[in-house]
Amino acid sequence: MAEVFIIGQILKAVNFCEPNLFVCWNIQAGSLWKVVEGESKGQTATDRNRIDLVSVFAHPIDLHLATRGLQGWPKFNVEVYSVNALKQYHPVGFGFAYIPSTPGYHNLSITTWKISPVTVLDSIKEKFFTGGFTIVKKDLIYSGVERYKILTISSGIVEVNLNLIFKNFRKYDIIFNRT
Amino acid sequence: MEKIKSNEQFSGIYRSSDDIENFCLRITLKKIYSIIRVPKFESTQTSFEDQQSTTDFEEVLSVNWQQKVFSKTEKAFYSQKENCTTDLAKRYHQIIKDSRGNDSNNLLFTYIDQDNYEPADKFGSQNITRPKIKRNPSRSFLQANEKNRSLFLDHNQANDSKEFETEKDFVKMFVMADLDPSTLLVSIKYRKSDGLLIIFPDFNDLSNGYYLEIDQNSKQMFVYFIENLSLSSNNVTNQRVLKVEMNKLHKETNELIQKLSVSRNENFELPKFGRVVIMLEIIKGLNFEFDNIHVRFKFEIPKWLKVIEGSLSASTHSSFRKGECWNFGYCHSLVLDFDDEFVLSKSEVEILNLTFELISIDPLLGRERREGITSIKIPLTTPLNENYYTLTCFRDIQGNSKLTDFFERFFLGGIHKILDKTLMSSPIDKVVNYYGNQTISTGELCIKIQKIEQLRSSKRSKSHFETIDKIINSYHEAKAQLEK
Repeated sequence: MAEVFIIGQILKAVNFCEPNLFVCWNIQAGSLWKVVEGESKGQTATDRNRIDLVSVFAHPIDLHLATRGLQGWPKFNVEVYSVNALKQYHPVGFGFAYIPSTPGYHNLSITTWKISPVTVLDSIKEKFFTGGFTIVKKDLIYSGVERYKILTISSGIVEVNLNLIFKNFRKYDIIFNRT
Repeated sequence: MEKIKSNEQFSGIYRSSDDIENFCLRITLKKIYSIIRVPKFESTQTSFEDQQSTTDFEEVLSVNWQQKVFSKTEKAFYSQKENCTTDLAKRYHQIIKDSRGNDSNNLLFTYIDQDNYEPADKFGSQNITRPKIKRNPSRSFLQANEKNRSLFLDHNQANDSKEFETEKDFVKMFVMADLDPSTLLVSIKYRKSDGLLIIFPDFNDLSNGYYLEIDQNSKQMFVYFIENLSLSSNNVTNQRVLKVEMNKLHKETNELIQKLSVSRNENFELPKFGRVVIMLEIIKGLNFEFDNIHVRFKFEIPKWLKVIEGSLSASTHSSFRKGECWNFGYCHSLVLDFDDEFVLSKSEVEILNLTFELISIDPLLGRERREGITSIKIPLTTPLNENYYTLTCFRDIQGNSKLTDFFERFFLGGIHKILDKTLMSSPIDKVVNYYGNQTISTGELCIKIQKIEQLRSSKRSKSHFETIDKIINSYHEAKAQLEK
């Protein structure tokens, strides 16, 4: 089996309008992949610091994956939530990106979006009551036919630093982008 | 000449807070020929070896609480099955039978509580009337705390304390020397209810032994030492914790090894031919005209490529702007199989064409407008130079006039009338822009493309050699042309 070591951190979330942010993250991969060691999902602390619309998390990631094939290359999925004064939280950003396919250091900027209110009443509710809308079926975030029917609003960016180590890929005659 | 220190013997009374099972003592019995140590000529130091040389016999016994060590007489008695009638005797018989072969003529042996041994000599229980209180914090096994201090003082003041008279509460153990006659060396008593432990004589050290004189046909002199080898409660707790942790670690390591061994047995999927995985990320769009934009994209691939996973066309979600930026953050992957032998034999590089069309939808009336089209070409087998691309987009002007285009787009929407192929693919019949359409630059689309190839090893090495050969041939051709 070929192996991938993912070591890094969720550095910060930038350009989010909402205060008190935390990030739920997970790494999704196909059926040929399996986690050998480490956590493939987690949650950062809530950052209250709002200097220049930057929330710093510095949340560590350390994961060891093994694979039997190329299909289902792992994706880094982030869900950004905002906590209000009543300790209620609501999603303010969904986003995902592929784990880079070259070894070494990478800085990922994951652009996020959130569900848009459809009617004016929904907008008012979002502003003053519920805080925001979420998706009932989570798989709609990264799949679905006729996705254009999902209305979203552009949100902020989550920056992730990753160091990748690849093992045994060359043994199975796999060529990456810049090899 | 060095005088021997006084041979005073006192009881030691201790209060045990932890389990008596942790109790352990070591007795060293030595035969000596004189109680006066004579230093050697021209020797100023008397080392331990020198002291040893004056003795010809030494025996060491380490015993735990209620550990039975048999004497020669006991061994002879219990080894005969006929003598063993009680359960205890039968158990002793079995132990002696199991340990046959380890016969040794040791002098030291023990009596445990079940043996019901009652000493009749001066070390008997009746003599422990005025115990000497010892509270030594360095002794690890037993530590009398401040709470018990008054109790000890009371005992010390009372000559005949009831505390020590209630013999039935105590569990006893004796360490004996198999001399002629059998001699009691140490008696130990323990009361479980309050953890009281009495040892007579008390622990000593190797510099100050207890002397024993046997007066039979010939006078024999012995010295013995009693050392405390018990573990402290902290040590015991630490050891237990360590043991639990070690067991846990052992279990986890085994699980991991098992998992890894499983993974080693699982082979990597090797395709029959070549395989390429294309991972597309549509990151964001910039500077477009109308809001609520989504991206439709389509891969155009040669017919001999086989799609294993993924679809050739799809669309992103609709996105409302934030400033002049439309975030998509959408991932799409495509797995293709191809005959690498066939591909590498071809002279030209195989290219996949990927076209994007950005469309905005009016949220109120649902009118669609084309915001831009763009395309990128992905080489099938050669590596990509970079991952991130910013593609500039353009769209056709409707009616070939900016004014009509504006009104038409605003009121009716910009329905795409022409096929993308005519604008972006190779010219058909050497005619570029057959309809004579005018276009206008719109925004930018930021994407990321990653490509992973898996070729058969033989083909891969061959392809490298072929490429080098091609380069050399091209060089020679170019040189020949220049010379002409």
